[in-house]
Parts: sequence; structure tokens; C-alpha cells
Amino acid sequence: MVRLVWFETIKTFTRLRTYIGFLAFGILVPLVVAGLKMGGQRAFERNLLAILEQDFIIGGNVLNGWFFGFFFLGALWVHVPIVLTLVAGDQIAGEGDAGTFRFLLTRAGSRSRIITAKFIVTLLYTAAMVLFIGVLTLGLSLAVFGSGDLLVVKRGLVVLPESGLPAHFLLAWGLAILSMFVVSSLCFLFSAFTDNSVGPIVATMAVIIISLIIITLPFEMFQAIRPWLFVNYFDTWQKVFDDPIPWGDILRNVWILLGFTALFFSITLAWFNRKDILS
Amino acid sequence: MKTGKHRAIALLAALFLSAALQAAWAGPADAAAGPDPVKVFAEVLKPYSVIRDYTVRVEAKVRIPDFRVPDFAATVYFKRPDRFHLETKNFAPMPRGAALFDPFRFRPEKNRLSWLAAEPLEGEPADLFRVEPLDEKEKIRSYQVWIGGNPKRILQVESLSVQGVKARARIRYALVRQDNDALWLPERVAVKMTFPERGVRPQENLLYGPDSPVSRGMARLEDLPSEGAVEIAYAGWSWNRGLDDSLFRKK
Repeated sequence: MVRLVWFETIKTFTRLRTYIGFLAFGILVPLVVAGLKMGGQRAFERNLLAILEQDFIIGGNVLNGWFFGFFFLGALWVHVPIVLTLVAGDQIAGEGDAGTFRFLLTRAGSRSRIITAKFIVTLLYTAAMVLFIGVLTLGLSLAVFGSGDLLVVKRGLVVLPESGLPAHFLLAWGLAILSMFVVSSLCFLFSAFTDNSVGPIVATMAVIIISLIIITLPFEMFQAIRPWLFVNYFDTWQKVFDDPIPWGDILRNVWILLGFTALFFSITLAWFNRKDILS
Repeated sequence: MKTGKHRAIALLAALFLSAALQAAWAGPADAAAGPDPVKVFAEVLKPYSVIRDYTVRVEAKVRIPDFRVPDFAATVYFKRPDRFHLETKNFAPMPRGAALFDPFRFRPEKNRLSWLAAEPLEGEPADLFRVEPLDEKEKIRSYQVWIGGNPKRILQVESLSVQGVKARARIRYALVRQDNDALWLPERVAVKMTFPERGVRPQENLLYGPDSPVSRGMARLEDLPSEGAVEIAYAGWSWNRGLDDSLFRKK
């Protein structure tokens, strides 16, 4: 199994499309940080601090690297699925498209083992991408805007001391990876249905966008189905920045996200084991 | 007969004139009832006129529900006429009004002053004054200032911000000596804040509502809760050390 995973890892990471996401965020994040530094920061001051400054004189480096690291994480996770699907959508469909399935499946490995290996590599890519974005955004932000306590504005205001922030961010990245595992596994599932990798990408993004609209619109009917949609749990990472941290909610959401991932993978496995690869 | 009529008119005119003069001399009825606010404030602020700048360490505790700020320490720098700089790595919100010691905030030439009542404060005799800044750009609309003690000093300040936030600061002093000077300076300030109801902000974009998982990470500040308290302890006062202007430039 380890050999299979290694083989799939080499295959995945020698493809150009694997690096499109890294390249895109590698360009986008420094651009946004530069924009913030060259004046964009003032927009945050106006929108965020102006309300507080009516009644308080604010001291400390409020709009610091941790703040923008948090902001990026909040702003980008809707866009991250797009780059994840580029790889996840190609994992099975790409083999079908290239006509390499028959060759692949003549080897000793069973279909289940091959699909499992592909799935593990997809998850590895997902984790690598989220960590890359997290480390890049936070590292650049800290380098440019310095450090300090983290100001989290939700319904009210929470200030988290700087000393605990590395642990908060590590945990948040872990939970963000878990959320993105669901996206990748859904795209992986769609990838099993087709021999064209564009289809899974479009289908996954369509599911995410429609789900987001459903959970956002305040209609009673939509709110009722909200708990059944996986995007409802995408923001679990943000709970790490609550005070006190709602560990119970986080644990429940972790199980739900793992459940969705396992469900999508199980369906993929079942489907692929019956898939006709000869026609 | 004619002379008598003239006398009566002259007497009446004299009466009107004297009444008008008396009224003009005495000023409005309420202002006449208490001490002259301009004199009182001039007396209270006089010892602080030696201060050109000051530095002080503060330690503060913010206790406002849904406004969770860890206790923080900061160094406060002040330079005349009204420049402040808070130096700290922590997030340090200090209530406007009286939390930061500004001896020149209540200068008679910058404010409209009036005496309101004699109102003892915790058993200590005090006079209550109303102070309205003349500068319309001020973030504080008006103050109520309790002055008492011996020597006379500001015991309590209640500020009303343009946003409608009330901050009542009870000030306790300590006599601080530096070289040949000795000044009564704040040692502890307990601020009680009352936030007004601001209503519900119209939702500009459904995707950016407070319940949207899309935007929770970058939500805007919602209304603050109704009440809270901030306690500030001051230590290590030093003044007239020649603070540089660059310290007060916004970075």
C-alpha cells in the first residue's frame, strides 16, 4: 500500500496542474499583502476601528500579522476548493481520459487499493495546499505588519493574547484541512463517475455554491436543510478563535466532516469497484 | 400736577433701569446659584499648568460582556495640547473621557462651563459642573464634572460621547513628587460605561450577514452590550521629560 501511495504521489506531483494552485496563491497572497500595506489597511481601520475609536482610544498594534492571517483564512477558504478540485477531479477521471486504467488495473493491486492510494494522495495534496496558504498568508502578514494580540470581531469582540496564537492557528489549519478534505473527497467521487476531469471540477463547485446560497438565505425551508449540507461546517476552524472555545461544537463538527469524507469515499469505492473500464 | 406726573414717570423709568442693570449684573439665575465655574476650573487646573508632557504606566482591566479583552499594560505618553500615544504590544482600549488624564481638557477657553448643583460624592462635599466642548469635532459631546476635596480636584467625570456612550470615571489620586514639584495625579480610575441601543444594522449583503459562514471571519463589529467597566491603575508618573513629537505621529 505504501508503494502504491508513493507511486500515486509521484504521479500527482509530477503533473503541472498540481502546481497551479500553489502558483496562483503564491502570486495572489503577496499581491494582496502589498495592497494592504500600500493603503488597503486604512479600509480596515475605517470599517473596523472607527466604530471603536468613537468611544475608546486604541493602543497596540491591532491590525497586525495575526489579524491579517486570520482575515486571509476567512476570506480565502471559499476560493481554495477551486484549486483543490483541479487535482482531485483528475485523480480518477484523468486515468480514464488518458486510457491508462486498463494498464493500471492489470497490476497486482486491487481496485480498492488503487483507489485508496489515490484518495490518500488527494488528501495529502489538500493538506499541503491548505498549509501552504496558511503559512504563506500568516508568514507574510507577520513579516509585513508585525505581531500583537489578535482582534476577532464577530458578535462582539474577542482579543486573544499573542502567546496562545500559534496553537490557535495550528488547530485552525487542522480544522480547515478537515473541511477541505470533504471538498476533495466529493470531487474525487465525481471523478469516479466520468472520464473527463472538467466535469468533477464544475460539479463540485456547483454543489458548493448552491449549498452556500442555501445556507445563507434566511428562508425557513433552507434553514431546515442547513445541517445536512457539509458547507455548513466549513467555518469550524473559526470556533478555535472563540472565547471560551466551544470544544463540544468543534468535536461534533469534526465527526460530521469526517463522516462526509468517509461517505463520499465509500461511495467512490463502491462505484469504482463496479465501474466498467473496458468500454 | 404736571410735575408729579413727570416724577412718577421718572421713578418708573429708574425702577426699570435699575432692575435691568441688576439682571445684567447678576447674569442668568442658575449661574448665580453656585460658584463661578471659570474660577473653579482655573483653580483646579492651575497646578497642572507646569505639565508640558508626561509619561505614566497603566494597567487596565476591561470587563465588558462580549468585549473580551485580556488585562493589559501600556505606557501612556501625553504632550500638550492634547496628544496621546499608547505604547503596548497588547490590544489596549482606553475609554475616552477621563480614563486618560488630560489636565487641559477642561480649560475654560475651550469649553462652555456651568455649575449644576452641590452634589456630595461618597460623603465628600463636591460641586457638579457641566462642561461642553466648544470644538464641534470633539468625539465627546459633554461632560459632568464633580469637583471637591482639599486641594480642589476633579473627583469624577461623566462623559457623553457623540455615539451616546456614557462613561463615568471615578478618579482616586495620589500625591506624586518629582524634583521640587508635587502634583495630585490619578492613582486609580474606575470607569463605568453605558452603551446605548443602536438598533439593528441593515444587512447590506446577504452573503455577509452575521450568520453566514462565508463572512464570519471578517464580520464587522456588532453593537456593543449595554454596560461594562474598565479599571485602570496608574504608576510611575514622570513629567516634562521633553517627549519627542515623532512619538505622537500615527505610524
